[in-house]
Amino acid sequence: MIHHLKIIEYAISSLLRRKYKSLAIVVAFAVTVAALASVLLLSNALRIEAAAVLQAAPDLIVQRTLAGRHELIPVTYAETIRDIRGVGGATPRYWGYYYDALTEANYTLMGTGGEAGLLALLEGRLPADNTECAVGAGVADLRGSADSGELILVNSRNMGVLYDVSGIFTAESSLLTNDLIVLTDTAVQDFFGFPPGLATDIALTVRNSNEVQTVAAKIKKIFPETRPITRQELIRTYDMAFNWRSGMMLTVFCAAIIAFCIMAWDKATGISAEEKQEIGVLKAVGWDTSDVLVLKFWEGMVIALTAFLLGIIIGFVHVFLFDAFILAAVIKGWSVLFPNFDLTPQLNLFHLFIMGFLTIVPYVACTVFPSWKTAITDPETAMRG
Amino acid sequence: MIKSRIFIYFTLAEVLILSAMVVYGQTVRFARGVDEVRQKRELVGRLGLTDFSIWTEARYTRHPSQADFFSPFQDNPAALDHFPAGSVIAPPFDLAGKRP
Amino acid sequence: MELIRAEEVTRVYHFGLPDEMTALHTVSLVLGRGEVAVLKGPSGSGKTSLLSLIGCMSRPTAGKIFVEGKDVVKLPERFLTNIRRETFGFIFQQFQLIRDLTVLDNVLLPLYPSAMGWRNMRETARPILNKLGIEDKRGIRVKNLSGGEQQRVAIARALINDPAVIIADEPTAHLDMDLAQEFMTILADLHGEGKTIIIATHDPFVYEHPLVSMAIAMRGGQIDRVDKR
Repeated sequence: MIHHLKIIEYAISSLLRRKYKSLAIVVAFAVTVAALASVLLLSNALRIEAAAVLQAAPDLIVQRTLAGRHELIPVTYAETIRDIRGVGGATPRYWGYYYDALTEANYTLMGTGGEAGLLALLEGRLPADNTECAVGAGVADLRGSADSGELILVNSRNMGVLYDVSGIFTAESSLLTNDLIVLTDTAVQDFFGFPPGLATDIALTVRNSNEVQTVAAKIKKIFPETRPITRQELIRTYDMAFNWRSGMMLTVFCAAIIAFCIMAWDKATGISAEEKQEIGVLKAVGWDTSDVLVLKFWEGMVIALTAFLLGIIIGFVHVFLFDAFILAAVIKGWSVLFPNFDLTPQLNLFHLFIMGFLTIVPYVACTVFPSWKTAITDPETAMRG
Repeated sequence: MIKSRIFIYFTLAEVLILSAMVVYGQTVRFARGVDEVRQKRELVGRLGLTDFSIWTEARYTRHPSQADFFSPFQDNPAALDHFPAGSVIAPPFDLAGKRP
Repeated sequence: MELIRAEEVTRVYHFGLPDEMTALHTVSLVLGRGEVAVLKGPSGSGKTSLLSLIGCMSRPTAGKIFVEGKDVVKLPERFLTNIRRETFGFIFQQFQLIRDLTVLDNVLLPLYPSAMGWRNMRETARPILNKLGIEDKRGIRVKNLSGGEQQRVAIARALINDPAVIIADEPTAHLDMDLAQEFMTILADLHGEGKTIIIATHDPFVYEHPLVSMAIAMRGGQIDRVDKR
């Protein structure tokens, strides 16, 4: 123990002798880890949030497709589907997208599906008639609806329609409601000019969750042009969306790994004549090969461990205390409306271990291996440089 | 042996800070989270929501779970996906060829 | 009493390569305990190579070397390092100090691999630094010292493990007459404490010094003549 402490002491002295370079490496390493950690922490937290929250989504959504594209579905399909054994209820849903030329933002207009009254995450209430709407916090901010209490949208007949804002969804729910405008079903149908008897899709409840696949198969058999989407598929979509193999993770991951390789390459392209001579002197005054290698190990470990932990802390603080504001700017794309990532802090130890393995181990290896050859050389040869 | 001691104390401090943040997340925020999850589930259940409102730039990025296979190529069968968020999220589970 | 014996040692550098060079050719030598031996000769005569072999800093290409009766040539590296650390104190030609470290840190370098605690290490160094008159400079970086002071740091480092043998390679090469005299006085003190001293030099001031008990003349990698005084 005391032996290692003394060698750590010498290792730190050695690093302090080139303190600006050492500091630069710690900073670059920490920033790389912070970027990696931010993506992993955010994607993991979103995955867990999706799995928790979307448990309440409909058991099955039935869409209709034509020529590979999503088409409106006849409401009469709901009556046939309701008669399938195991189906608890089948409700036509009316929803669609609205492009707001004023703000260049896209909104989702959604029918209440017959729901009315209060919600915990809604300040106000759901619309009671065709002249009212409830809006997401993002829409309210963008259109100033919180102050005016009104929202004007242009319908499919190019006519302006004025709605009274009956409620605004809270900021805590922005991940679900940021771009939402909730109207009554009739209001949505009228706004988009839905042909009579057609809906966007049909939401089903299935009495026994084990029978969801069976019901989906039956629907597909009765209506071959439909596409039933189960709740599990829905949740798994988000599992995959925030999987490390998706574009987001892969892009940042690759950038981080490339940055890392540059750093490691700098170390691995051999040690300087000065370092070789120093190893020679250490061996000459009585240091073993193993003592020299332990020294190099600790030189790498001091930097790697310090930077890794710092990077994880920065990533954690960035994602969970500052709502991942830097990452949000990177992954925002062309979205005008973008929610706050106000997520419950989660730290997956497996991810932590993987990150540590992928960063600390290569860096320490790149510090130890170049010194190996010199460390096993006899002192006289090593001191010659 | 002041330098080695400083390093050890600093490392321990970093580990403690990290542990404190995790504990904070698991306790304080978790308590808030339990209520919030219940409220969000109520919202999802009553309005029949299916997706997070994250990327609003295109319909298949806004509702990835509902998107049909060809939406990213909506302009032309050979057209490239031109919305940035399309490269950030993977295709819907069932369309990626996997069944649960 | 015999301390070091070299039997027919040969040292070839870059063996088998185009730039192969024989530095020593079948050299045999016996050094007794308490001896003050000088290896003298021109550059390239093999003095440094012989010192290196005697001090267990390298292995001969052929031949045997015995230190306190032990054949060191075939010893595993770990045991060789122990012998090097416990038996020999080396003063190098260019001092080979770590310039950005302090005097104390340089002197303590040989003690790092030991199990000695930090406080004991400092206590061990204190009398040696005092004796060499550099105790007040212990916190100063070596690069800020004069040539003579740096040499005293090199001597202190060589003495820290209380070795039986002091080896010095061209110790007066960068010193003026006064400092060279000072150096020989220090060596005389160490000899008085019972240490064996081996010096490689081409400085006549050193090899004609009355302290020297054995002068070994070398030429072309071989021993020319041995004078015992």
